[in-house]
Amino acid sequence: MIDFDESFKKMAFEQAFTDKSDELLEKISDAKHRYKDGEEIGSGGMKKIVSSFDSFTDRELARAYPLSDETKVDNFISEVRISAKLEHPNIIPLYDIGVEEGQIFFTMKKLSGHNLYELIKKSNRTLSLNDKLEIFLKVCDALSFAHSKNILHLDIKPSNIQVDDFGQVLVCDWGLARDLSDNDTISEDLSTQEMSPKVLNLSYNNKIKGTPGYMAPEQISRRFGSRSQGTDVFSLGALLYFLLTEKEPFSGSNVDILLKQTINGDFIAPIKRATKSHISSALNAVVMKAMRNKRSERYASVKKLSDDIRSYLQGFATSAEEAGFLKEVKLLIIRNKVPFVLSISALIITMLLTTFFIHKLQDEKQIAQAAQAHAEAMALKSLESENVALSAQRETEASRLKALELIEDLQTEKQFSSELKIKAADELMTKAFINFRKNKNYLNATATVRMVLQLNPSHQEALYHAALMEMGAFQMHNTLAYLKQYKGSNDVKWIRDNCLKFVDASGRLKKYTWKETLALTQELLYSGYDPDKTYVAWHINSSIAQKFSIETSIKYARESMSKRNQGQSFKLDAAKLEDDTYKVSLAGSSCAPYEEIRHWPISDLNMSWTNFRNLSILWGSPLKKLNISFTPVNHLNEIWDLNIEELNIRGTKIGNYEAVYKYPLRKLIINEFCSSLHRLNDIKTLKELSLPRGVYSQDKISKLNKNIKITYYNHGS
Amino acid sequence: MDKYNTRQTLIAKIREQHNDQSWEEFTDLYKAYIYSVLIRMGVQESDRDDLVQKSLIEIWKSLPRFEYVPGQGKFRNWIYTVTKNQCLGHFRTHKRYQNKIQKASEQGALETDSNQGSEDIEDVEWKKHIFTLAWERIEPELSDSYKQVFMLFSQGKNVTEISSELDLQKNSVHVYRQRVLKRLNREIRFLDDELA
Repeated sequence: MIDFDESFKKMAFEQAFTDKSDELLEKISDAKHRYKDGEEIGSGGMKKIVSSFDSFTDRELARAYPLSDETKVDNFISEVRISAKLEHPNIIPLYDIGVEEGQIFFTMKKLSGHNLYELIKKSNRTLSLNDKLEIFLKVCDALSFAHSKNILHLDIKPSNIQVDDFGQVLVCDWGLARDLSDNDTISEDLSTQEMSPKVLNLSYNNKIKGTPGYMAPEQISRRFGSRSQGTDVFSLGALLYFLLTEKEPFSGSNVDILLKQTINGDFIAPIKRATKSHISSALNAVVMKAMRNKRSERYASVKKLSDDIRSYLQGFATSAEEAGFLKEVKLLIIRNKVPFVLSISALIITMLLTTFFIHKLQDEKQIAQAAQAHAEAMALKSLESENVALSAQRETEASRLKALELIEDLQTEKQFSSELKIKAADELMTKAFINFRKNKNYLNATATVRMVLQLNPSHQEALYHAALMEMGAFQMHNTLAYLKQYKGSNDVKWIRDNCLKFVDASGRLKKYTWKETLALTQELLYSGYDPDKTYVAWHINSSIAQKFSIETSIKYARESMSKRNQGQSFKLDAAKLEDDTYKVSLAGSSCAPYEEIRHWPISDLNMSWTNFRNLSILWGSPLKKLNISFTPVNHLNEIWDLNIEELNIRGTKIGNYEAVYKYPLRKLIINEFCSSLHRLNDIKTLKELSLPRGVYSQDKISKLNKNIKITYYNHGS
Repeated sequence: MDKYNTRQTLIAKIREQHNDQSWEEFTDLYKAYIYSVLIRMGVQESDRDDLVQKSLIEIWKSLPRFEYVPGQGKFRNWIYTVTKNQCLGHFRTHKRYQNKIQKASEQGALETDSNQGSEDIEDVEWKKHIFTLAWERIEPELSDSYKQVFMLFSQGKNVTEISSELDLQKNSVHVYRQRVLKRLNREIRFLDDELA
């Protein structure tokens, strides 16, 4: 026994307790089995992954082993080296690498949730388009980051994207990834490429690296060039294709066919492939561009691709309503005067227009579908309306494509010149203004033409139309101001002459009577046909109720409408009801358009046996009872949000009853085209229902609620 | 490593068995401690063995009644209390108490009867006792060079001095010292945990 110094003993004792870390380190270095492997999670071409428990950090993780042969070990190590470089929230984190019992392994985060393939093909959860695009954007972010580190993934496909239950998106499996800044892997890359067989005879062997169906042509054959960021762009395009259509882009039944299809760019455009949902042509175009055979024609970077998706999302989110988008654009223009921003706002305008057209198209699609359902009963008539719908569809399709071209042009436009503004102005004029004008949406037409003039103050066409719009709004002084700047070839004499009648010497608007107003519209309508004159006349007529009292408006309307009546006799009845609303009847008087009654507080309107068609004049009215029997009205989409309690649509071609089911109806007279009679039961308030005799089966009628009183009318009388 | 994981400590085992064999184990473990406390208390050499024996028996008898809570109870506090009381009783009955006090104040060996002082004795002696026990237990495992290095180190010599004295590489000296310390520390922690 050594004779230790007394104070040393005490000190040594104390020392033993101050150095706790020592103890832990000892424990760690002593433990032979840090990881306890559990069940196998998955196994691919390159490696096997098992679930594992880390006894040091006390957590579940995933442990990967290479599959035995040596080339795979090389790949395995390369994957580790590459993954270690990539620290990004959307890239699977690598924890550690090690050797245990001669076996190399690495550990990484244990994945929860599902991969994208399972999520879309197998799970019950349906992802909205927005969800899908959000996921896609995160994948793009991950790859943008990897590319910034000179790393290509080269195996992007749905099953390599993991989405956990909390929405975290992780790009996994970097086993085929290449580090472009690492010469070793490049030369290795080249040698495997050269060794690969001539792909034209398509004797596929496993030297081709990637997943057939998602890999780019250049991953199959060297004649398409070497691998680059564009290679991942292609796979991202294929991934987006899968997300949108929920189908694989290439449909070949075996690997050879898949490879051949890839090389030939032989796939069906997503827009034609989707059955479940409609795919916007904007997104279709994104996929098509990303999946171009030639690398140079694809997006130059992942960033450019994701930017396109982001602009699409932005546009979509703000296009909920028409007025909203006009306002938005207006604000943007006022906020930012730099041409660059103008180009962006022009881009947004066209995007929004595109979605606007999509909405329109969907309406028309619904009409067409309803018409189809009744084709048997209404063979001739429905065919007619279907043709109308189809040609309208073609028309809107064409304008959407034009809008898309413009987007592309604006994107590639490098010169920030006034040309851009001019182009955007032209675009607004032809795409938005013309439509608003045609639909007699005076408010939006005016707003649009003013915007055009902000973009290009000397836009001649816009100056002319602005003058017309101001005249229609009875702002004669504004009209005259616009005319001073107008140097185009349209005849403006009639505008100036008529406006001067309404202003005094100082250019201010004089007091005017309804008779003078009527004289003006009569002059415009009957002094030789001119579409612009007519338009101004309708515009003036539409705001009569805002300029004069309702009693005066009734007088005006009688005079004005009777002039153009084509019916057997003209009769306008208007009676004030207790609640200050009006009961109006124009039954039997054919004098469309009925602009004069726009903005009247009508709660009860009888338009039966007229040529009334434009329901938009009823926007915002307190309408409760509507009789449009035997009119050419063929859908109720425009007055979807009115609270109609009594409705008569007998003798119309209305086939889409969606709006009808929505009204708080008490009394309803239907035509012969109601496809699902039982849904009338959803209208809880319904008490009386009148049906055409012999059209609906007794079986269907018997299923109607018992508290609905049913009467019949003779169909065809 | 298993001994660290068993929840039952040595002292708990001894208490449970409470037979001849465990008596022997018990005396081996605590005798030296009691002895050193008695020295510090100023008990004369001729009386020490007797007092140690009496204290051990006293502790042994009341051991089954001792409320032992693992990790909480300080067994050594109790041992010290019993020993101290034995000691005070001894001083009184041998009428040398006054003498003792006088002598102690002259020599300054026993500061005062204040708690401060007695706690110090208890603590310091326990630490030294555990160190010695620990060393005894690991010594057979150590080779001579390890022991030599550690001995010189305990005398306050630094690595350079030790390496020249023993003709060893500095690196080796460092490693040997660390290994012994590591082993010793582990043993100290173990014993303190088990016996205190």
